[in-house]
Amino acid sequence: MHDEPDDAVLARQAALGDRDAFAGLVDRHGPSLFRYAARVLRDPALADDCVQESFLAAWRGIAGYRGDSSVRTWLFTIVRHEAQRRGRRSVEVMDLTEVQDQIRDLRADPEQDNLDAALREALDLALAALPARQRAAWLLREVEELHYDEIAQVLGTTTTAVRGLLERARTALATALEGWQ
Amino acid sequence: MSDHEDDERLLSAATSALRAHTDSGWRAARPGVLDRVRRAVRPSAPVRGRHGAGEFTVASGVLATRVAAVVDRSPAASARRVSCVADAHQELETVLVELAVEFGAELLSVSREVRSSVLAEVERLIGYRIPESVVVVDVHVADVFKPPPRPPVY
Repeated sequence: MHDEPDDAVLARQAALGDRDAFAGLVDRHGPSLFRYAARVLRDPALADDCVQESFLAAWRGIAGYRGDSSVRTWLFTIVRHEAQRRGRRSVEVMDLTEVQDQIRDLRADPEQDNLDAALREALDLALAALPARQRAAWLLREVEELHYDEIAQVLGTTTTAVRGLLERARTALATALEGWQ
Repeated sequence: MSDHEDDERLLSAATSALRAHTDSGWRAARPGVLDRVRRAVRPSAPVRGRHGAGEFTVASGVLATRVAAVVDRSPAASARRVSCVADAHQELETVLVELAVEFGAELLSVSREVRSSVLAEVERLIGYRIPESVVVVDVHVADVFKPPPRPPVY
């Protein structure tokens, strides 16, 4: 069996000019980075632009990547900066009652036959009711499974602040999803 | 079961569904990302070279890529990092090569062999002899990952 080279090896080869190695990183991390950007920005076109620019910045800057953090954390940090430059809409928070109403409608929709897709849609609505930093911290922890110190690095804050953001985010999401019950 | 437990189960199921999901937006964006990276030019300082008809410049990034390819031909070593630095007049000042060398390899002979092949390659590319001291070889003992031969990147 042939093991895939790990991120550090691909990053080193990419730093030396190997575009195929970089394409390996794009394929490995692109789905996660897009998933994160789309929910932080709440706009697919902006997310597309954000992820494209982030990978371009990563390609240009990878020779300066020293391996102090994982490649994944480094990429999320770039995406977070790119998202911040575009993110007017992400700071708008949807009204909780409105979100709960929309989730209730989604639950009641008789044409909804794919439970996972419906749950995802409900969660996306619930996330829109969170302040931007809570949303970002929660996505990085629960969906992308970064460690607390990695999230702190991506968001430019402390692990204590991350714990606080996550606690508030979990409570707020559970409240928003009450519309599903 | 309490309402609180129901809420947690629901949130956990929705989170798993999102974690397993790849957005169609990513599938649409991927070819554009790869295409832009393929066409992107990395900013790279010029290094002066000379040939019979005069002088020319070659991007330091291109030099570094070619040096890395030469290092990777060695059976016991692999390039971890290569940087080529020119002075304010674009004259090559330093070629720094960080090597990963297989545990147990003869470090001195591997680094000597690498230095001489790097010197030869750089001189071929810039067209004139350089002092041996220009090439600095740092050795890092590690498991060597030998990548498949890569095509030249210009």
